[in-house]
Amino acid sequence: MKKLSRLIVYVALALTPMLFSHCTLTEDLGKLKTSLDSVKIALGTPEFKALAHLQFVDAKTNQYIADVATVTVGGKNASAIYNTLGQSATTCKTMMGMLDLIIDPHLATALDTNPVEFTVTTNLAGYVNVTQKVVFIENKIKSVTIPLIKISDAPQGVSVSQKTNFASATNTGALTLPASESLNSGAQTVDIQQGVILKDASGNPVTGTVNSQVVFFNPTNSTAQASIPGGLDVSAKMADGTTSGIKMVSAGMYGVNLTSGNQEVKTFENGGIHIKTKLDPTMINPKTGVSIKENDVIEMWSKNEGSGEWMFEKVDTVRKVGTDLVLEETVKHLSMWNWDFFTNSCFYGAKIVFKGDNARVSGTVTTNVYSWDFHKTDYFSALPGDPTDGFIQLYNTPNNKAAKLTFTSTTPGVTFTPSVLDVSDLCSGSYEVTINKSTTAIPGALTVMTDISLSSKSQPDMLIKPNASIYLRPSGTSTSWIINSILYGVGTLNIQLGVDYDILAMYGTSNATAKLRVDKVNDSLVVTCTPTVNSGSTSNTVTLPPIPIPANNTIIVKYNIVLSDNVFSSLKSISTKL
Amino acid sequence: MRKLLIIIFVTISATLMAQTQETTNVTVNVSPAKPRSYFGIALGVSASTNGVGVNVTTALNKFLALRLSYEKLDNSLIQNVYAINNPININLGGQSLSMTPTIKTGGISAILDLYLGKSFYISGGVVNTDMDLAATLKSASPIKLGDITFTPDDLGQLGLTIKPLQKLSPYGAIGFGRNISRDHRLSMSLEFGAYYMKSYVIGLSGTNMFTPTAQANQILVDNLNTTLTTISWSGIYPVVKLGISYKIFGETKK
Repeated sequence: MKKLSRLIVYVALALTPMLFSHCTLTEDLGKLKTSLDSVKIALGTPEFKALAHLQFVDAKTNQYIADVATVTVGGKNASAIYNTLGQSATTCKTMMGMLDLIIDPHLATALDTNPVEFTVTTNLAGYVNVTQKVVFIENKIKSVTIPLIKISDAPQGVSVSQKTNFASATNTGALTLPASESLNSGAQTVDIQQGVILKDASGNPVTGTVNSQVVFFNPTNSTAQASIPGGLDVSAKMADGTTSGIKMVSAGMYGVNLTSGNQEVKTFENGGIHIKTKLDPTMINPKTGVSIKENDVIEMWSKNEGSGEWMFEKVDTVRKVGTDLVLEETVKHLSMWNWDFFTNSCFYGAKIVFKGDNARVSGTVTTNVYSWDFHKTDYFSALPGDPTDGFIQLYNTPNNKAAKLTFTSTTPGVTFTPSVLDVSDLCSGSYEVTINKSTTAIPGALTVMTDISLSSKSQPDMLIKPNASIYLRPSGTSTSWIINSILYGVGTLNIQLGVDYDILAMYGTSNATAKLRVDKVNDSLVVTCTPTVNSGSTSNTVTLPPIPIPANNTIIVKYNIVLSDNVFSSLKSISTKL
Repeated sequence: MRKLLIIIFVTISATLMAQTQETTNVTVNVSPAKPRSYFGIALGVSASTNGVGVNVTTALNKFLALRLSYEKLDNSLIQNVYAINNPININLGGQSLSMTPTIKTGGISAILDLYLGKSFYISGGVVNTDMDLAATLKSASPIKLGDITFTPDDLGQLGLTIKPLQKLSPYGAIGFGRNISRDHRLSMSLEFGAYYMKSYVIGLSGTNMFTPTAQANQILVDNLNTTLTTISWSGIYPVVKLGISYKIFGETKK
């Protein structure tokens, strides 16, 4: 009985709080349901950080080439190169003078230890075909400008000669008569003797009427040197068989192309093609530091069109013929040929670490070597502290050379400290550059922060937040497109009020363009956007309701693009086909 | 539920019976000559909804005892009895996803037991909880974009967490049996209680392609957490604990 009464007490004690408590479960669940009513499913598209932004410009005018060029991807890691939709990019077409290619994201994360390299060969009627090597050492956007030489309007210092009836070859490929071509009043000549046999890459004889195209790059003309496909800081196979980064100083570069119908001459038998150039006697031999003279020696190189790599061929000697200093050689295969002095380069150069304001800015760094004719300009996007864009690493720069690095901002109101950096050795060291953002408002400047999402009418709560690169430039200008990275729909565009801008986005083989303009009307800002759909027709202009001018000159544009169900479904499959 | 009630009833009965047995022994060993000291120290182990644990209990007098405990429960312990680390495949909107729960709870506690009877006590104290419940959601299979195959790890994952608003939480319980025996070496206890963490805090995170899910719903998660603070039972962590202890120091009944 005593046990029972004790048990009753225990149970009573346990039940008391339960009985007297107020049950709020139903209303609590209601509150939670209300909180969850607006839940949205938002998924991103894959992010491709290692993106090659190829820009095809006229070597003379520096204008983007609007004509569609065919680009063939080759070289060591060609199989790891895709278009921005992840499709294998063996052969691509340019769009508005540009092409974006991505590195396989599985390789992109280890680029610092395992660089990815490939070649792009550009074919465009009326322009000299170009093969350029691209090397990725960082998991970030790399902007590569490929100058193309227009045959009918070559840059200063670049000589182009074409003959539609250069030579005639028999069924065995043997030349029926000697053939020759000269440039610059005979300063450069190309000769092939009678009986020399022409063969294509497969070893088949090239027969019939042979057309020629000879290009020569004047070594004393800086414009011509800047037009050399792939530049002169290159990767080369050296005399000892090793591959090394070198900086070339050209004494004369030839590009010879011989074709018959669809056949292209690649090799010669029973002789070769004789190329010869007169040298400017004022040219400085970098090895001796004085003007070039008789019996100076210089290396000769040919370009491997497959790998984009320069190959050491032999050492030639400067000869004196009459009063002229000349270099001449008979070569057995056709490619770019170059007499070049060189200095070794390092693969990984000095490192520049960005400090200062935690905001993404863009700019260029120009490298000028004090004691050497070496200069190049690289584009960069910087974000202090960011594991990818918090620094830049110079690449393939001359060994043991002091240089001046000049930093120029392309973001309005941003400066760099120091803007000019003295580097004692381009191949070593780490330097800090501070980003300063002006606190003073720049007249007419506006920062547009975009927040883009894609949805469809039937699935309004399903959003796709794209990763993409958006290109921007003032309408009607020929300036370079400014790359703006959109990360999961969010990006920043720096614009000026009252200026029309062209906006371009590329996805795989498609692109979308729009015109954007922001006007100041009284004390408000009015955003106007005119998209152009894929077919090229222009959609209606959308004018957003006026918004007050913000104190920090920054507006946030949330742009939800409602797509048709079909288009959305195809995009969704990229994001959510799990 | 019915089974659970029967188990609880049987456990309570057994515990009470054990203590009743002690009562019988007490009557045999009455010693009027010297006042008895109830001070003692016991070491114990426990298993509860807050984890498996060890404790040291010090009886301060006949009614009060101070219990210091450490309890732990995580995937590695659960894996011994249930394959919790094996992802659970679920189908959401026609998409195959795998979910992996991560359970971590336990903590250090300091609890005062007040014995209202020989085998019944009420407890109060504080627990520094380690509670961290999580679930990760990722694609169950690789996908192909163009010619590139993305593994589930490439695609990223969505993470959901439930954590306490305050780690140092008050604890209250009623118990049957004892955490330190009064008259013998061995004792058992069964405890029902809860600690109160003020509220649950929900967290949502995403990596790679799931990053926007977390970003797009951040305001919603903030609102949900605000709502949870207005719900009375939010933050309560129920505890059912079974303990056994051995008195290593102190008098026992002869």
